[in-house]
Amino acid sequence: MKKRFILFAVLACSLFFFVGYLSAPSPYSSALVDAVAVKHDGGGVVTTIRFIVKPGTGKLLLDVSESLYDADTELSLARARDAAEELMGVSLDNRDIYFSIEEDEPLIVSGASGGAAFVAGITAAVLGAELNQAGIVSAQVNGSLIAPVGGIDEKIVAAIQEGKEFFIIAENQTVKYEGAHSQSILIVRVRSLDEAVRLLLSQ
Amino acid sequence: MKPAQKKALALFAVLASLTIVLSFADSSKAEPSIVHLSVPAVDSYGRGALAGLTIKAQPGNGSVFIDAKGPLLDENALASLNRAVGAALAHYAGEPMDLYYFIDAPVAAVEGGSAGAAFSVGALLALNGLQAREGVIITGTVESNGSIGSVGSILPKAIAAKAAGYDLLLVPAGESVVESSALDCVEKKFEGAPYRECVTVTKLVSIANETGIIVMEVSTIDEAFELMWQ
Repeated sequence: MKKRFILFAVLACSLFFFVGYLSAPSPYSSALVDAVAVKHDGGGVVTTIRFIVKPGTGKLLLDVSESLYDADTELSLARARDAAEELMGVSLDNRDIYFSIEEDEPLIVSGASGGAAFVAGITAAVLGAELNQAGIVSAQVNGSLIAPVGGIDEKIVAAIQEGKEFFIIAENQTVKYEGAHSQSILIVRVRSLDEAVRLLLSQ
Repeated sequence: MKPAQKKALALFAVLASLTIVLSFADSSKAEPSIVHLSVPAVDSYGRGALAGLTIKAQPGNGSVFIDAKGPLLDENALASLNRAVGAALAHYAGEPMDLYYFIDAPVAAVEGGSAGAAFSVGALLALNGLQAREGVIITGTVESNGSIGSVGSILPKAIAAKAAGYDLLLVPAGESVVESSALDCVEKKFEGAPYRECVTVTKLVSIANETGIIVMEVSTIDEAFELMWQ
């Protein structure tokens, strides 16, 4: 009787281990965030960026096998990581963040206007949250605030064509054809980075 | 032992071994190959300096990553990195690997393509699980077909490499000698008054003679790889 009990206990334990191993949460999480850029021909384009967060040592790994980036974009990405840490109150020193652009055509990405979208993407990936696909942001990050970017009219047009419902910009951003755009999309002016990210994280 | 006990024991054995096999399969998948190299560079004052380059290869889908927290690479440096990886992959037929480049440079930004050959040979070393031979260092650009192209500032780079204890410098074809201009003067007299007549002459200076480091010219990634793996 006792023997049978021990055998049962051992069996139950091994079963727990096995099931536990299979159902353990995946050590990495990811998030997709849309960003908007201006192409060389002057037209706007919406591109999707994938952020993956894995256990690691605080690295910020930029996938350069397809698309290329200029130093401003790399710097804004590094700053976005720091801003996301600040925003969440979480250190990312024990995580590696992977950044890749989900496009078939390689792009040359330049400038710092992806900053706020990068922060939203990193935050969503770390928290395991989903971003509201109806919204999009184009703004630089300046400390805890967001700042204006160039080519905003072309970017808004691209977002409208992509079916976006709201577009987040910096409070002091000038938009040439704001009245016309507002017929098709809600333009949301925001002062702080925190507010911009919250808007994108809310469903 | 009763049949029921036997059955239970067998089930236990299967589950236990499955768990062990699965966890082993997981850890072996993450076994990376890591290569450390130094790359000669020049700082903004034209002085030679060495940058550290760590390349990690691990099974993946063929992506290339840089650490955006390190020195910033401009689009020319990234394009050179892509050519370097392309040239290395042309000589690699193993399973698909992801490559990670970590640069430890005394500068905030890396521009241009003179680290291309090091990027490429480093990738070949990491992909093949090899280490770099001690004391060997390379400077040169790389094209997608694996040819090594010319770079500037070889002399200050050679001085920095020699000072750091390297004894073999690989340079692009034709660059083991550099042109150096100097004044060549002769003492003359004009109606009894002495004067110096000087002309600027350009002469070829051997990098090896000038610095004491052994210099070899390499024109392809293959040649460089043969001299750099151990």
